Amino acid sequence: MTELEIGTSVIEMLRQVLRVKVKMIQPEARIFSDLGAESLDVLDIRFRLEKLFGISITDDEIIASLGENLTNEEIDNAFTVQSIIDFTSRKMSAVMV
Amino acid sequence: MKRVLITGASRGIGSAIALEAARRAYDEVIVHYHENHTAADEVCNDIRKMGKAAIPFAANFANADGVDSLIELVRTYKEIHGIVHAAALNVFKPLSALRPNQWDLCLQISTGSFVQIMNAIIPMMPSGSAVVAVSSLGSRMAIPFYGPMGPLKAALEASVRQYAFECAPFGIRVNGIAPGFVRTSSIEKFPNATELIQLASLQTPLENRIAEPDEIAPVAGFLLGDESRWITGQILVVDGGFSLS
Repeated sequence: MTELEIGTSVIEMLRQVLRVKVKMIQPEARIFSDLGAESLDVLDIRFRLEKLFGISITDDEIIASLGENLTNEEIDNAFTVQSIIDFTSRKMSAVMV
Repeated sequence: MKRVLITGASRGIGSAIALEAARRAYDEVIVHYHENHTAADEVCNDIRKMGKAAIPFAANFANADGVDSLIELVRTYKEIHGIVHAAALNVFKPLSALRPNQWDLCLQISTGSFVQIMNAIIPMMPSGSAVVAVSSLGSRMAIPFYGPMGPLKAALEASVRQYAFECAPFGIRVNGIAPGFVRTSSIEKFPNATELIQLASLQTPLENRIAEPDEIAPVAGFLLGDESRWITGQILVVDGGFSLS
């Protein structure tokens, strides 16, 4: 699966979860501040990524992948649509290896 | 060999009921949990200290496949004599602010999984078996920031009555418990937790406090046990009198 295909699937998944217009789901869009996600939605996103891509994601792994010892504000800024695509691509690569 | 399955058994009321089941007539307790391996191991170790067998099993109830994985495990046994459904997920916000995905996720984990498990496992339950679903007072009264949980517990209670009716000819009893406010990690997730606990304590005529999980578990144990053999389709309120006024 190419990164473009992963990106397309992630964007559609985010549209379904967060009920926002596709045009809002830009790579730099912040999941919490710009797209209105809450903590339960991050859990939902995780479960859907696991099912969509056949990967296994541990608790807090997505947020932890953003960096160590980040403040809430830094997490908010780093947790973007692109960060989810990148995270998924890395997990997919690991699965293929 | 009497065997019982407890869903959501790694913490809170579920773990207290798992220990209660081990204290009673069950020889083997299947401890379902989502992903807190450490907590599940602790529950299993406590059960084993009582001389009973414990089987931890992780399954994600967010989708039907996850529930199926637990059902597959249970099907490896010949019989199962008890089910307690304590697994639940909530989002603590006004129901009117809920998004469809949040409703769907909470519905599947809290109530949908119960129906899926029951439909698969009822044929494996011999006469004399019992089922207990853990509901809450939210099924019958509005609670601020309780999100979808009240309506989902109401659906759970309706499912209990329906299953009680359908399973009675096979000698299987199905009941529920509806605790009031209980000191678990869930109550801390209310945005107004401190105020809520204070108010609930004041309104509870028995000792003016909220409950501990081990005060709820014996009631589930009673409904699992033979001493409640003439009770089915009922929801026992366990709230220290909170709902009286």
